[in-house]
Amino acid sequence: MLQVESLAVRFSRPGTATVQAVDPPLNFAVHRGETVGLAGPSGAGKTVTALAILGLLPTGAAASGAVLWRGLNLLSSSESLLRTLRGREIALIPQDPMSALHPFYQVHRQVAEAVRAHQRDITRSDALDMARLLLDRVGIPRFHGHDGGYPFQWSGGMLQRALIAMAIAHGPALIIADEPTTALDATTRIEILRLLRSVQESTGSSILLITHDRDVMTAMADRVVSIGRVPPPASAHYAATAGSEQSAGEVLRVVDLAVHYSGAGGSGAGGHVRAVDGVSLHINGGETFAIVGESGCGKSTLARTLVGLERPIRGTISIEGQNLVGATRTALRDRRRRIQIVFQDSASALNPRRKVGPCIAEPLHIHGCYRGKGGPAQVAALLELVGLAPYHADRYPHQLSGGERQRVAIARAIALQPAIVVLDEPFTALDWGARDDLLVVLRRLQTEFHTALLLIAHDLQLVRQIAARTAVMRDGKFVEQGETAALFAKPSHDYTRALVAGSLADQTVRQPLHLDHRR
Amino acid sequence: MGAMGLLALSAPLLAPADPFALVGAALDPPSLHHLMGTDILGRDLLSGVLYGARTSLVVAGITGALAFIIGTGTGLVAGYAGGWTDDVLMRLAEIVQVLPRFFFAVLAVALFGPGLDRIILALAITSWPGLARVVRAEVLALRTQDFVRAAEAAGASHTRIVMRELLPGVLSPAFVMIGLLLGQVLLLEASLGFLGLGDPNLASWGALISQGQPFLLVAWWLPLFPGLAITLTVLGMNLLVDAFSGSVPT
Amino acid sequence: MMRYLVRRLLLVPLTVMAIVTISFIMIHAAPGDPVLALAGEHGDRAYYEFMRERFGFDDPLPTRFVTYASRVLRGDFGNSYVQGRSAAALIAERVPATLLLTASALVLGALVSIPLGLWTARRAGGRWDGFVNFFALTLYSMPLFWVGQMAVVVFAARMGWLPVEGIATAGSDATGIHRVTDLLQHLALPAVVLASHEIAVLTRLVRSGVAQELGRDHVRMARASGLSERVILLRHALPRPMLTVVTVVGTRIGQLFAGALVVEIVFGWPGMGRLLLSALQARDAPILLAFFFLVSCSVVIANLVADVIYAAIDPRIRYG
Repeated sequence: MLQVESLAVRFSRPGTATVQAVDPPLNFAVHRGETVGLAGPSGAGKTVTALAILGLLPTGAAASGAVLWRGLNLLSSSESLLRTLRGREIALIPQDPMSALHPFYQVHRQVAEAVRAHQRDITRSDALDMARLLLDRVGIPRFHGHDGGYPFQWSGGMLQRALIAMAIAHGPALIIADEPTTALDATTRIEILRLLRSVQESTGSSILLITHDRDVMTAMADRVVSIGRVPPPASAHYAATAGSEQSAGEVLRVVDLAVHYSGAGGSGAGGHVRAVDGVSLHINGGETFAIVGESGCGKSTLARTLVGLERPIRGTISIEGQNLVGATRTALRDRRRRIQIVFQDSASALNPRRKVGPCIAEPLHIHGCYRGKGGPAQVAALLELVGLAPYHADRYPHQLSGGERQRVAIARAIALQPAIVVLDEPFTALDWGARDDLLVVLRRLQTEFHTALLLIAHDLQLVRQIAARTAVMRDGKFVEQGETAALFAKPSHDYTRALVAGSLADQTVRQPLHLDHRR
Repeated sequence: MGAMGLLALSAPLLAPADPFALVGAALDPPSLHHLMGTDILGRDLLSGVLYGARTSLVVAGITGALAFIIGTGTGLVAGYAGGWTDDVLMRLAEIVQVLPRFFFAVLAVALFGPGLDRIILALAITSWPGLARVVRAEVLALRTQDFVRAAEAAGASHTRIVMRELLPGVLSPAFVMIGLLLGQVLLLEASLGFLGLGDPNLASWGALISQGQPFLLVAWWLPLFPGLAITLTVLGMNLLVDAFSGSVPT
Repeated sequence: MMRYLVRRLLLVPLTVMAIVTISFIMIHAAPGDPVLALAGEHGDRAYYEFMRERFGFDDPLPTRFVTYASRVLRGDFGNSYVQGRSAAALIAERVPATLLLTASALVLGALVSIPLGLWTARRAGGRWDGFVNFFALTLYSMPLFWVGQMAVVVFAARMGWLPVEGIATAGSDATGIHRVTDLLQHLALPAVVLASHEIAVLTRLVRSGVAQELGRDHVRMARASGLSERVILLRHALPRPMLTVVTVVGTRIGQLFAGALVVEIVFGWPGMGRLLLSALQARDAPILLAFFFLVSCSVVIANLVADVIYAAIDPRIRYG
């Protein structure tokens, strides 16, 4: 039905180099009724492929090859022909439901607009009735108050349902779902996937599912097409030595730490949120301690509190026996040297206006450790330590890859030779190769400097690989902590069990889907 | 812009005559002798235009510098400090933003008498709020970024964070705003000169144009050349800004 | 929405009081006796006494401020010492002609810039886009009074197409439709000249706003559902930039008036421009003070109107 033949997309803008957005050229087909997954790392051109199929590439982008729809090449079709296909034969479910609808118009009116796009002869009120029926079908019953609702009043999940309603308005033969669940939280994600499934079964549409999420892919796709360079398998050489390094001396001790946010969100009625609620832990020199949990469980707040970016309302944090909470400003400044942090998003963690060199030297300047002429050598040594070359000091952050930036962030964090580095989801934004490189750097830190690592993560696979001990966090509390291997092998708490199960893709998403269909 | 600056600096060298000296016949059309013609008193127009460039660029330059200092400073402090400091400064900016620049300058000249200093001051006082708001918005966006947190975690002082981490990031939007502002100030200065509010002892483009007003139908060159000078200068400024940002003058 | 509007409304008296205070401070910061600053140096004794008493210049500062504020807020800026009449009355009789000119320029600006902005936004990055952008920038870089003069030179002196002086043909006793066409002929050039800056600013604003919207997800989604280009442009791409247009027009009221006055001077239009010029030449402060007030308050009101329109159109404010 849909046949994509050596599709390649180039972006060229005046004054900048041409960028190859889909490379190497892509070949795949989608047959009637099947779900084809399109997988690849971010930036590989997944969304661009979807836009190319729909003929919606932005100006400056040129597609070559062929996109055959029932034998017709869409790349060379006229705009008016494409318009009759869009929404009627090929529909799109976009990535970010929050921004996919116009903020000024009520949702059901925008659904009705999509209905009227290909049925000019029906009246406005009939189209509105159709829209209500469609919304009903995707699980937004009328009594839910969808009449008169504006996009900003709806949750992401509801909006994604509405967009699915728009997509199925004309019973399209193909639905292109572009990362349909990425912007949604875990529970909503499963509901939306179920809905997609049931919609597909009742309409018989094919689905081209674009996602980077392996769990979603395994749960939904009949076949998977890879785009871009194929990632190498995760290497295991780090795991071999992890945990063997046992150390002398405790570097960090946290007792009964609590952090509250006062009623955020403007409502004022909520009182305060207990982001961290009575957490205790200790970490020894050279040890890796991991904290895992879903987003919103308080693990990032905990990380920021440890390095002094948030104020706890009770509890103590001591580094090498010295208390951080309630210390005077100057004392605090000195003790902070011993604990540093690496953030998740390396793009935002480095000042885009400053070169790498000054950026790494900044902590040295602050604490008066920058040694005049020897300074550049200090920076070069730090760069070398994280596997970068001295010339990287002259680069701006945007000239580096994500992995390189993250290594710069680590170089900055270890410039003052801290006893412990807090790593807040440092791997999340990185691809496989960069992850491995980073693991090597971290390993080196531990063996050479005996630096302790506190790793905040949600990727259990990774935690298993590198952390000696792990704590599971939920709603601001540790539900359990212990030796990583033992914890994952025999979880004693229900939540840990659910978390461990959740990481095993095949079981979770597919299982509830089948259950749902039996009803 | 650069060319105009050079011309203004070298006016005494290039100008064929003192702009106020009577050097030729009255209302002489452009010729090889007087490239832009002469006015009703027989003064050389080219000299007037060249010296006028100095006045315009001095007014625009000092106004721009003052507005830059006040606006960027206010925006940085308001955005970084937040809380009531931010509230007070931004209410102040909102109130000042309402003041019509032109009429404020006119009133200032009426009350304080003519002179470049008060024109510059009046224009600068009414010009900073837009810049302050842009800088503040930029600071608000920047300060939640992790690199500011990283500096905090490394123990950097507030001054250091503002100067080292935030200031570089707000400079380019600030320059865009200043560029737009300079264009507007040049036009305003011309308007004030046209209304006879400039310094009577200094040549100014606006004043030259207004002197041409009674002779429009007989001496078209009188307003043409000073007007072209203004247009080219402002256009150069605006094109520079446009190339730098692609943003919109408001 | 009520909370938002109430907050905006409360800002109005606050801002107006701030304007009163600023002008009060300026009068007192001027060198010499404040009554001289306000009344000029060439008045007679009786006039000074009149102004002194009217604004309570003999009272202590706080009382003086109260007297001044209550006078000014009632629209009493004292008498022009040149004409011996109330400054407010002198301005009021000139307002209609200026309003006619500014309103025509605004309407003209909107009529040209919205279609032109839409047209170029669809060609963003193309040759026509670049040309229109350059043209708009050039327009925006010309002083309005100079554009006016050049228009006079070209259209009147060279071609003799349109009248260039005043609001009506002198000595004409035309009535009915002839009077209207005569007025329109006189209005044409000044209105077009005054509109030129509005056209430049608004075209670029609409263009960049619409071009930005065209790249957004909701427009892409509208395209993906097969909506026609007309619907996409008018219903999806235009509304949000139009809100910006409303705001910018509001903040530009001061510049519009300033432009109108100099254009009036060039074309001999019988609005407030002539009055401004004579007041400037005589340093007639009461009139200039009245101008400052009138325009400041217009800006305040225009901003309030823009806020109300925002609230009416953007549901996030209406229900937020």
